[in-house]
Order: sequence, then C-alpha cells, then structure tokens
Amino acid sequence: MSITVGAPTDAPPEAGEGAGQRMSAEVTVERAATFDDLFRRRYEPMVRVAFLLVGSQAEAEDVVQDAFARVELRWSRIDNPEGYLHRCVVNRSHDVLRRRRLEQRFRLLRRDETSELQVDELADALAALSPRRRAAVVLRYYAGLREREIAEALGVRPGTVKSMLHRALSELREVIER
Amino acid sequence: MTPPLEDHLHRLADDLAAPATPEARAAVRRRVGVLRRRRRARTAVGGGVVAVALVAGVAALQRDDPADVEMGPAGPDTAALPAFTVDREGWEVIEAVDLGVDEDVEDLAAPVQADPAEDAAAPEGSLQVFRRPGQLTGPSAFLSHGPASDAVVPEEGDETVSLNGADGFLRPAGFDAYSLLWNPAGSDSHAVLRTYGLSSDEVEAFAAGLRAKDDAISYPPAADDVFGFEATELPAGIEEDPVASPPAGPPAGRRTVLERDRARVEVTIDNLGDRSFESRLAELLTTAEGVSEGRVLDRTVVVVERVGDGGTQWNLTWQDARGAVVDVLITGVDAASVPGVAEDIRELRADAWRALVAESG
Repeated sequence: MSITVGAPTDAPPEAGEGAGQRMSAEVTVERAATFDDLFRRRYEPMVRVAFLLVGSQAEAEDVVQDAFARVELRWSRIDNPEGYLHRCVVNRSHDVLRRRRLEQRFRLLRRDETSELQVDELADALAALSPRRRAAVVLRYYAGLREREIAEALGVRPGTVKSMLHRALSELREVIER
Repeated sequence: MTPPLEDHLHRLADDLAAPATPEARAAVRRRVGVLRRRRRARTAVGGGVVAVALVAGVAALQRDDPADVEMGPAGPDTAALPAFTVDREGWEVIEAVDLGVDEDVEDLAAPVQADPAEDAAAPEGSLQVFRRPGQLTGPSAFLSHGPASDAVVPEEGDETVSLNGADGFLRPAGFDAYSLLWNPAGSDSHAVLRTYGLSSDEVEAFAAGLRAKDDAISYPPAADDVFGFEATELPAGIEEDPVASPPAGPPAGRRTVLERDRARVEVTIDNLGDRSFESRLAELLTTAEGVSEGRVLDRTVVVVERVGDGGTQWNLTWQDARGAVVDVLITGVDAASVPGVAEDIRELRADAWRALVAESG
C-alpha cells in the first residue's frame, strides 16, 4: 500500500470525484439557521471525525454530544458555530486520549488497546501519531478543512498546521513504507 | 485522481452509522443542563469583587524566559554555578561561555537603571504552581498574577468563561494544555493560568475557585499590595507547590553548545532559582508534543518533545542539588538518540570549565 503525500497546501481537497465529492459537504461553512439544523446536518459527520481521533464509536459519540452541548450553550454568541464545533470536538477528543493514556500508563499497556478501528496499517499509523498531528490529518484529509480552519480548531497558527501536516505525513509514510 | 490517504480515511470511517436521532439530541440537551448547572454552581461560589493589581511575573511567565525574572542589577557571579557538557565522540564544543553583563542573563535582569525606591514601591508579581506532590510531569497549573493597566483582549476562538464577575478567555495552548487569561473583576491586575494535563472543565472549575489574596489593588501597585490567590477548588490530588523567591545574589548563567553534523546540543544553566525553573517548565509543558521523565546525573529530569522551526526538538530540564536550573536543548537528532545524549551529559570541574571557555573563546 502506498500513500500519496504531497506538500500540504491550503487549497481545498480535490473536488469532482471520490473523496472530493464526499468532502464537498464537509467544507460547507454557511451558518446553520438554527442549532437543530446544525445538529441534523453535522452530527454524524462529526462522530466520524471523532471516531478517527479516538478510535471508539461510543467515545466518539460522547465527545460529539458534549461538543454540541457547548455549542448550544453559546449559540447566540458564536459567529462560526461549525468552527467552534470542530474546536470542541478536538479538545474533547484530546481529553479522552489523555485520560486513556493515563489509564494505559497505569495498566502498563504498551499500545492503544481500546481502538475499534479496523486492523489496518493506516489505522495503526494514525494511532501512532501525536494527538494533535492526528487531528490535523483527520481534519485536513477527512473533514476537508483548510489550514486556516484547522488552525482555529487546534488553537495554533496556520504555519504551525502546515508544519504539523508535513511532519505527520512524513511519519505516516515512514510507517507505511517500513 | 483521489489521493489514497483521503480514500483510506473514508474507508475507515464512512461505514460508521451515527444518525442524528432524537435520542442523540436528547443526550445533548441533558449535557447542556449539566453544563449550565455546573456553571451556576461555579458562579455562585464566586461572589465578591476582586480588586487586584500587578504583575511582572505574568509577563515573565508568558514569555517563559527565565531571564524575565526580576533580579538585582549587580554583576554576574558564576562561581557557584555548575557546568555541564556532553561527552560524546565526534561532537565538537563550539561555544562555552559564562553569561555576563552583556550576555543573556542581563536580558532577564531588572532594569539596569533600577531605582531602589521604585523597586520597593512596585511589588513583584506572583507565580504559584499546583501539581501532584513530586510529580513534575503530572497534571499541573501555573498561575501568575501581576499589575496591568490594560484589559486582556480575547483572541478569535477563545472560549469565554465566567470567573467571579469577570470574563476569562480560555484557549488550548498545545496538546493537553490550556491558557486562561483574565482581569480579576474590579482590578487593574492580570492573571494567567497555564495548565497541563487538566481538562478544560477542571481548568474552569479551578479558576472559578480562585480567591485573590488582596482585593484592594489598583494600578500602579503599592508596596503593600499582595499578589496571588487562594485556591479553593483544586483538581483531585493537586496541591500548591511553593515557589521560592528568586535568590538574593546577582544573576548568572553558563552556556555550552556542541554540534555534530546537523545535530546540536545547547546546555544552559542559570542561578535564578525556583521561579526560573517553574517558568521554564510552564512553557515546556504547555507547548509539548510529548512529556516524560528521565534521570540525568541522578536527578529527575523532565523530558519534553516539541516541534520547532527546525523540526522536532527535545528539552531536558531539571534543577540540580544546588538549585541551579539546567536546560538541555537537543535538535537535529532522532528520538532514539536522545537517551544516549542524556547518558553522556557530564558535569565539569571548575578548572575544566575554565579551560573549555578559554579554548572555545
């Protein structure tokens, strides 16, 4: 298996076929008219994003429900609910991974044994990335976010996203080609 | 042509079914209720208006430069400082220097034209540290408080949280880290809470439980103003770890730089005490990609992996038995090489250090 890893750019993902078509809905940034509109439209896609981040559907749904609750709580004060939602999902996912890491350290587990991601070289490689790099990869190559949007979700500068993606892709390539 | 990485991610996740059902919506409503109740409880605990002022420590902590710690204007005294090098074949010492009045330490010192009367009238900002006893790499909170004439300005994407009548601005600061900035209500002061290993809920609860030690501070601060907080809502297992005042002597430092091909090691030492160490630790932990503990020369060392401009870098930081703060920055090597470099760190005798300085100069 090989992974195509070009230098990350801020251009949107390829449109017109395959993943590009799938992601065209992901990059829609119009503000939902109501919270329930946003919930209906984005709940399942966000669970999938969270699933790629935490590797467990139950925890992914927990993360996303918590994130939506925080968005609803601040609905009238948020200019970009979708951006805020991404940020909440990433932060809550980090909380899950941190808690899991502590538990694993306590149990002296050597690897993530809670992942439900299918046995797959890429899944393993993804799980081996640091949480922030994993989030950058998932938001860029699955959710189809631009670097600027990823930077907002991760709370870093766009230049840092570029660097994180570059390093993450290098790591993925190393692992896959090993 | 679809890039295989994107395709692969879709194969991993697209089969997952998680429709936006009424049950899921109800779960979100329940969660909203929990969050609202939690916030009301925190706000109720808040209460009084806190008036504070001050902070030099805040600026120091924000820049996380040990040199920012206020020190007297006297010249450096490196005699009591240890010196370290890396005894590794093929590595060349390209710099070995005592940091003097024209070196880095001065940048960290108080204004050169310090006025004793002004110093006495301008109390230093506070730095408080909270962690599990003896666990430098565990969940930690670094709280600085100082005078400020300007209001904290939120950044885009900050989460606004209510803190005893003031708005605080919470933002992720790195993996597993948050920063929370606010002006305590009714005060000219500025507080910065930087955390590592705590969830955002824990950070908010901790901050909401902070009570200023002095609620009558205005800008400019007076000599009898007291900075700092009493923490009433500590996360489980966390205690305040006292930070000693900077030592009375003049600031001093040493730096050794070694290189081999693209690899580089910089060893920096200062005598600025707990505050320097904790400020450095705050910066490292809140910008870390990975954190662990190690042993160097029989001391517990905090090992932090970060991403810098030149790629991944590692910091090994510790406080030696004499209180000196040591930071070893390693770049241009892979992760597997770091333990070897750490094992080869050696302390130099005074005469060996002097010879090295003379040789490298």
